[in-house]
Amino acid sequence: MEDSAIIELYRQRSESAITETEKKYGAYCFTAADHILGNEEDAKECVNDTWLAAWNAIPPHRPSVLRAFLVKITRNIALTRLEKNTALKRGAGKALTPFDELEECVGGGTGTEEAAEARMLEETVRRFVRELPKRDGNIFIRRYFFADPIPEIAGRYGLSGNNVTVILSRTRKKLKERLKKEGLIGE
Amino acid sequence: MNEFDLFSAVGAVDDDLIERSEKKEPSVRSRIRKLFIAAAAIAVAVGVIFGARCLILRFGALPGVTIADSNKENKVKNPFPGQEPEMLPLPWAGDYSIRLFSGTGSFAPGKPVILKAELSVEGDWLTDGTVLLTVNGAEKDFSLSCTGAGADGNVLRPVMNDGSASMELTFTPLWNDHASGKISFGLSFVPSDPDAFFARLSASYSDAYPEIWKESGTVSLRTDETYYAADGVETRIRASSSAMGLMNDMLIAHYRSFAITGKEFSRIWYEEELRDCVCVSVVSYSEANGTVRYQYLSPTVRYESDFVPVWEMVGLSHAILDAESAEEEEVLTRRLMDMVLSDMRARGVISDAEYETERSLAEVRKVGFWEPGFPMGLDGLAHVVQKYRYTH
Repeated sequence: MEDSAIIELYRQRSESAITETEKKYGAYCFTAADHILGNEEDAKECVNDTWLAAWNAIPPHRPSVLRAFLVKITRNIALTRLEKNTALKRGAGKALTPFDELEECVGGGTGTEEAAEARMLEETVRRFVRELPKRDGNIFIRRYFFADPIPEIAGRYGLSGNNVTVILSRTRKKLKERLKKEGLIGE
Repeated sequence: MNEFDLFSAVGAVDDDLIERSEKKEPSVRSRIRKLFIAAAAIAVAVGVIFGARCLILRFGALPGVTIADSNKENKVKNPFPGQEPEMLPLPWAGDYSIRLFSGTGSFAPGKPVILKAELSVEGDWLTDGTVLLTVNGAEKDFSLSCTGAGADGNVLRPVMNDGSASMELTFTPLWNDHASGKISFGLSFVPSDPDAFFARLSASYSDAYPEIWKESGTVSLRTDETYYAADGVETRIRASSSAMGLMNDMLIAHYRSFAITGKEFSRIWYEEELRDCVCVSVVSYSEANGTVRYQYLSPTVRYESDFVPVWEMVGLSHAILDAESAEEEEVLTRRLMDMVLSDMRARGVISDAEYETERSLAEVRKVGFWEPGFPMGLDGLAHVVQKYRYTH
């Protein structure tokens, strides 16, 4: 079913909107959640929460790109769940996660207290990604938006794992510089 | 701020960037592989085209037939009405191989079909020749007695058992500086099922033949185009007025120096641009004798003179070649044309009426000067078309 038709179902408050959304984007959102959470059960719950959030958001919201809209919801829900539950699970011999990697950009500070600061951070990151070269931007998004594993990213873009790692490392350094420049992190 | 905040902030990236990142991109290796495959495909295509071209230029093995019948109304538009197909002298020696006809359509099993191969020659530049007739895969040779002027070919009476036959003529022209005349080949037969035959012929040559003449079940086919190679290097293709069917293929090779494609020429032809052209040329001259040979080619009159004592033509032709503008060249060419027409009338080549007609038509026709040293035929007219297209 076309996205516009699915959105129309939401607007008509038809419950088949959720069925159709799950049919079309269930696996997609599950993958995104699973990459972040690393837990199948949690990821499934995340996806279910996503449908509910979408149901509540549409209307009045009318997403221009349904897929991106849904995966952003999934991601936010997954992230919230992760932040609440996984402080204990981090480390413990697991592979380096995207969060571990991003820690080098922020130097292990405390969480943002102010909504205004969070919005400023979002805007800075949004512009930063927009200004990156296409390939680097894509890789950054795959890693830090979708939390894709490095080998998966390498396969997607026809690069070696090492190459992806190097590109990400350089991009993080640039991001750190940008965050410093914007005053979002200390020198 | 901590890493979760930052990871969360990444969620604010624009939707279009998210969409963009979804697309998989081929690896460098894959791209190289595709490039390699593309390059190989191009190389093969070039090889095939080059090979086919070489074959065509060497053997003239272009299949095709043309239709001309001087005794019947010919529905195919003849740009030279009232004139027999005619070939100008062939300036080079070399081997000829010409395919007259191939795949003639349906014949009734066991029913005799008369195939008549005609070879008429004027001049003295053919020494021998053969007709190779293939009937159902079996080849039959027929010798041609075609030395000397006006030699006739053979009458062949094979029995066709089923639907295919092809004929090839091979002969060897000799260089003769003073050769002039014409050569044409014809093939006529009576198909058992004319409608089916023409249906097939139309299907095969619909592009080349808007209409195909037929009457009373007798088919007359004539091909007047010849191909030959000079020293195995350069191939010139000549055509006479009725060789319309093969114009496309022939002129791709012939007019390459004019950057004109066969398709384009075909369009020019059918739009009858050639009908509005007239071409004149000083072929050669003798300073010692003060004589000159000229050619005149229009849709209604075609003539090549012997050496005539009109020395002014030489000076005029040099002036045309030295003209500094297209306008000046045209003025001088028209002057040369007047001179040529006057001489033709004075020698009785054209009548007074024809002279007046040609002169009046020349005023509205596109005129062109064909450089000395090049044989003039349709190529001369095409040259005029080209010149006018690019200079007017």
